[in-house]
Amino acid sequence: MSDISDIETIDRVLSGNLNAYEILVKKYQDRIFRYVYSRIPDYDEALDITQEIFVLTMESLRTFRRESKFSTWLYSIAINYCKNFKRKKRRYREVPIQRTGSDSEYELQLTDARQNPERDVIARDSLRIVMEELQKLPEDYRDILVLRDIEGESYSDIADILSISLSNVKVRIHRGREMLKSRLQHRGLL
Amino acid sequence: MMRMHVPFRKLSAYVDGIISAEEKVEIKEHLNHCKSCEKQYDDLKKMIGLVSSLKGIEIKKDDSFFPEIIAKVKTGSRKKNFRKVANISAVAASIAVVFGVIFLSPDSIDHMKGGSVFYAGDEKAGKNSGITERLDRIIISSTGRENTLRLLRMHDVKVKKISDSHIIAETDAATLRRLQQQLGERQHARNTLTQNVGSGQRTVIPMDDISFPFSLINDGLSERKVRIRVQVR
Repeated sequence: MSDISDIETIDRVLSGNLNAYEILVKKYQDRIFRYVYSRIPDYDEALDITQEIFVLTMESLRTFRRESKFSTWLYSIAINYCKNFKRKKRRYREVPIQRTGSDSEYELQLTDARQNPERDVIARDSLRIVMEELQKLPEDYRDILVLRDIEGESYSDIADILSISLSNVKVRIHRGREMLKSRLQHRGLL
Repeated sequence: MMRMHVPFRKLSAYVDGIISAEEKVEIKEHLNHCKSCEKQYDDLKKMIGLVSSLKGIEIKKDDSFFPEIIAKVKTGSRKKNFRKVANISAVAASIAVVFGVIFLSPDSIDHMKGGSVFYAGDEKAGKNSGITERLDRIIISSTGRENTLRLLRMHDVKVKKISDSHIIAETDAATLRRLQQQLGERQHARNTLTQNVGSGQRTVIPMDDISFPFSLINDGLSERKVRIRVQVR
């Protein structure tokens, strides 16, 4: 069952008090952002997507059936959104473009001026490496480690969020950890 | 006592405490005597500790994150219409925000926790370029990417990066002012629209009728170049 305070907040939003939604946003924005950022390693883009997820969630609030926790439902939306986003992104890759000026043709600089924002953003080397290696894991293992080892979600909540069995959760957790451990050993962190 | 090494899956379950009491005792005892398994266990604990430290990644707290969400919901920047969620009067009462100006501080692209874990070095970029490389403006476009791009090019705005969700571009203050003039011409139409909706009519807002896609206001920009991020529909 969903957290009572979340349900109360949802009722307030549905009755027209849109500002009450801020309570839910503040409560979950960092968790959702971290999940998105683990999949889309660009801060600005991850931030945009996090916002979009909250917009989509608000628009769909009436369809929340309250049989699960709100956070479980929210994560499910985030996971699906990210999957679709990546699929779409593969279809429409960012490509350098040419622009014809009045006098001459010149190539536009499309790369972010910061070159590699996350390198600037994450100052501490070891954590940067952990994030890099986590982002490189196959989707199934990365998602589950984010939920378990970063967010501390219980096995049963993870099973609900990912719509997989409890035994599958156990298997993915230990395989994901094994894979990440090996990668971090290779990077000299362990 | 266990004679063989503890498999990784068992160690992982042991760390999470999801094994039987009997197994727990066996593993604990084994770890006391087996250096190899003890090392595996220590590494696993250390790794989980490192991963959990990533919880330090947070969105930088500023005042624009939530208002932007509400603005997007109200403008219907996504396909669905929020009128399914809240009643029309609640939306209408605040529809003025639909065409309001949403600016984010350049610092909003920073994120950190308690100043100790992560921070952005955005200001350091572009020092030698002669123009600022800071992200000066985030602008919400009311139209799609292609239309937005066409308008940017019409005003000779230099497009630097294009993605599905936004366009990074550079322009100068003069161009910005020209854009503002155009915006001013449409302000009257917007006000009229706001009044109509505010009066309780179930008006469908013809977003496409408002051909100028940006919300800009003059806040005394200098002649310097500005870097903008235009979020597209």
